[in-house]
Amino acid sequence: MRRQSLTPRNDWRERAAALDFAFAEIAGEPYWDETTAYVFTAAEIDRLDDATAEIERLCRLACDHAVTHDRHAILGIPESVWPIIKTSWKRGEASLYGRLDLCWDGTGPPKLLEYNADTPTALYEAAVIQWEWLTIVQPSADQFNSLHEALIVAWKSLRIKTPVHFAAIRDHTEDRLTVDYLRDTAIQAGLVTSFLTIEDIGWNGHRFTDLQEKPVETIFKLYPWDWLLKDSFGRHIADAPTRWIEPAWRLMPASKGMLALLWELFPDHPNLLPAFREPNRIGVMQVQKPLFGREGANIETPFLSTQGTYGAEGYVWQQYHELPCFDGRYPVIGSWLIAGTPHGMGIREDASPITQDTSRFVPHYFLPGP
Amino acid sequence: MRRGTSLSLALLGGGVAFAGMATELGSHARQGDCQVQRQQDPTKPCAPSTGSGGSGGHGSFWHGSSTASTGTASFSARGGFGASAGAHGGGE
Repeated sequence: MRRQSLTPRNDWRERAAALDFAFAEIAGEPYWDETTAYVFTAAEIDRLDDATAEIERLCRLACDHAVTHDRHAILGIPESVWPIIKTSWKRGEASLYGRLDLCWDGTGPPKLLEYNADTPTALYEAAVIQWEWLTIVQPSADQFNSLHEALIVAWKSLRIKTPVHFAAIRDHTEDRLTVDYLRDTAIQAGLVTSFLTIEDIGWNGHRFTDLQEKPVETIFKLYPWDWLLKDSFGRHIADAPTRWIEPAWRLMPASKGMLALLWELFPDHPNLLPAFREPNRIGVMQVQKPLFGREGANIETPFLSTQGTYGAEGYVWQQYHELPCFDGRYPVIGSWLIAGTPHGMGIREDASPITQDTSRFVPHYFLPGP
Repeated sequence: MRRGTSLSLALLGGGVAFAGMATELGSHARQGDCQVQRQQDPTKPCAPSTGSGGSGGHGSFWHGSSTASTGTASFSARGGFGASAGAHGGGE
């Protein structure tokens, strides 16, 4: 694994625009950054692939343990909504996608930082934008990326009622692009779809409805379960027949409390970092994370902290494991799972060791051979 | 399949369909959706229900406000989801 400096294509902005990548630049600063790429060997990609599959296996075992033994407290999930989570898990409701954030420098085992299991974004740039870059800039190389094809296959396997509604909050460019992209893959899988804002989901006293007053049978929502359950319509979820994607059980791995449960169940596992629901079990080199924090908000490390509105729900304390530093930049590997199977990765890097919503997305490729 | 290229080539025809996907995505973004048009017409029943909807505000961390509408048999109440959305949106 190494960081390579590159000359960006003269027309990278036009190419991004042609692919409807609306936030290649944010506030005049590049979000998509092709002045850099990370280069891997095929063997290194295999290690990331294997680690991703292994962590997913552990998480599913931990979810099963949590449901069997009612471990909602360690996950920060209140008893009032726990039956919804349990029912979703026991029904075997399928997951479409998720992203593990991994810390790795090319040596030793990749370490799980957290699992974005409910509403991961940075998908379109991982699946499409960096692939387009590869075909132009490194056409003889390969990329850990079969996300697009896997999504189409996954939609076909979900056995869901149609139409499938796709929902994002109103007037949010990044969320809308992610939802549009996923909707596109569903269309290519042969599904009938429509778009609905989260705010426009209706309740007719018996069912959730769309703007045409038709029942919402199946909905992909880019809106986290902790928010859905907290909102006023959350009280109707248990009674409504709507099938949700991601399903409700994904709140378990999405909770940072899962890091503590994983460490309890699989102590000293090479892909995990020590984590607890109580502070100071690790010593001063710990990171405090809100259970349902997002975008790097309200994180406290031994050296810096970030602001935000999270934390009332509780915290987890994870051993501080600083991201590797390449040329003054700290990369996080976002390793994607589609229908529970590893299918690609995207890398975001920052000048700070805390990855935030402003961190840049940089492409990667790998070279054939061992 | 552990890596991308061979599977991509197999399913996407060497990149031809890839461009088609992008074009289709673009068409989604540009065409506009039905509910956008309907929101602009307050006479349509899909407009938020007067007096019974509302965002509900924030209650305790996990329990929404008691102001939630239950809707009626004819027209749905709306606005019961979305109150928790932060400035960074729902994705991460």
